[in-house]
Order: sequence, then C-alpha cells, then structure tokens
Amino acid sequence: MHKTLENVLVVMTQGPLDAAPARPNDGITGAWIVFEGIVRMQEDGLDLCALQYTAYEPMAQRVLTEIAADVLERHGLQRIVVEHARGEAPVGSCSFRLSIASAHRKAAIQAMDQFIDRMKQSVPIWKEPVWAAAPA
Amino acid sequence: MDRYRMLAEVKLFGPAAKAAGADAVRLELTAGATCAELREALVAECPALAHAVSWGRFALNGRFADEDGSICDGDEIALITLVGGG
Repeated sequence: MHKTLENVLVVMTQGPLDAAPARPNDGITGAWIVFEGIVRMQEDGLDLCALQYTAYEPMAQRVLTEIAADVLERHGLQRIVVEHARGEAPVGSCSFRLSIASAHRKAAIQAMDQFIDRMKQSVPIWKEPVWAAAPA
Repeated sequence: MDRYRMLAEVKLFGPAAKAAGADAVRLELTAGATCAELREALVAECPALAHAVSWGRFALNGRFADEDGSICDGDEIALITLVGGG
C-alpha cells in the first residue's frame, strides 16, 4: 500500500481548479486520461451563477485517497491525481478533475468510471446551486 | 455501574445543515450510546433533521460507523447525508 500511495495525489482546492497536471513522460504510461467536471449554466431548467461545494475535511481527503489507492491497485494503474474544488466554482469553471495514467487504455477507462461512481456514493462533499435569480 | 451522560456535538453539512439552520447540533447522550440511539436522540433534539437522519450515515472520528458502533466521550461525530461531489 505504501508504494500505491506514492502514486496517488489528492488535492482539495479553494475555488475552481487551475490547469491540468502535466502528462507523464515515464516510458511506461501508454494511456493518460483526464476527466474534467465543468459547472453547467443550468440546473433543473434554472440559471446558475455557480456551484458552492462544502467538504467534511479531512475525511473527504482520506476517503478520496482510499478510493484512488484501491482503484489504482485493482486496475494496475501507474498514477491517479484527484483534484476537487471547495467553495464557489462559477459556471464554466472546472470543479473536479480526475487524471489517470495507465499502461493500457482499457484499464484507465474502466478505472475512471469506477472511481467516479464510488466517489459519488461515499465522499463527504456536497454541492449547492447558487442561482442567477432567486427561484420563484 | 450506571452509564453517565455525556455532551455530544453532531456536525452537519449540505442539506442537513440547511434543514437544521445550523452547522452542528449539541445533545446529551448516554456514554457508549450506539449510532442507532444517536439517530433517535438527534431527531428528538432537532425534528427538522428527521429526513436527513433517515437517509444519512454517521461518521465517528472521520470514518463511517455501523449502527451498533458505540460513541465515546470526545468522539467527533458527523452526519453524512447524500453526497454530491464531482
């Protein structure tokens, strides 16, 4: 597990995320997949200004790390980088990014889906819409 | 020996915090109370949390706890309702 944790990075950032991490150049990685969650301009047909994220830290950080480490081992991945916003993320900004390095494409794609499904079940992060106009 | 009473604080987030109008609820529990007992006590203390409590799970010291998990004096308690990261 120690070796696994060396290949997992979890970062919680105040506000929207900056640029994506650099693509690995280690001679082993054959697939580098980056998923970005972007704040949409509407939710349930109503205009949004932003999403407001609240996290229960450090539990959120620890659960994200545990899921990433488990997914990395199960799929034999090279590296996982998880970035999540807390606080306000305006429309059009990136609030979540998952970057996965793997020797092969298939493992990376499966791992991506599995990580996000698990995150949405058990990581204590909540989002609340910030409406452009108060709902009637 | 009688179990003594202890003061506990339950941290609230997201929809639960909104329903309660607070980030935490303080209540008295019997030392060694289970999460199932906490569930009942929390609704009695703050009825607005009934829905959140019925769906949520408790975390003790940053880890999800079973219903029969017992609570010790000084434990950090959080109500984890339906999460929505990503």
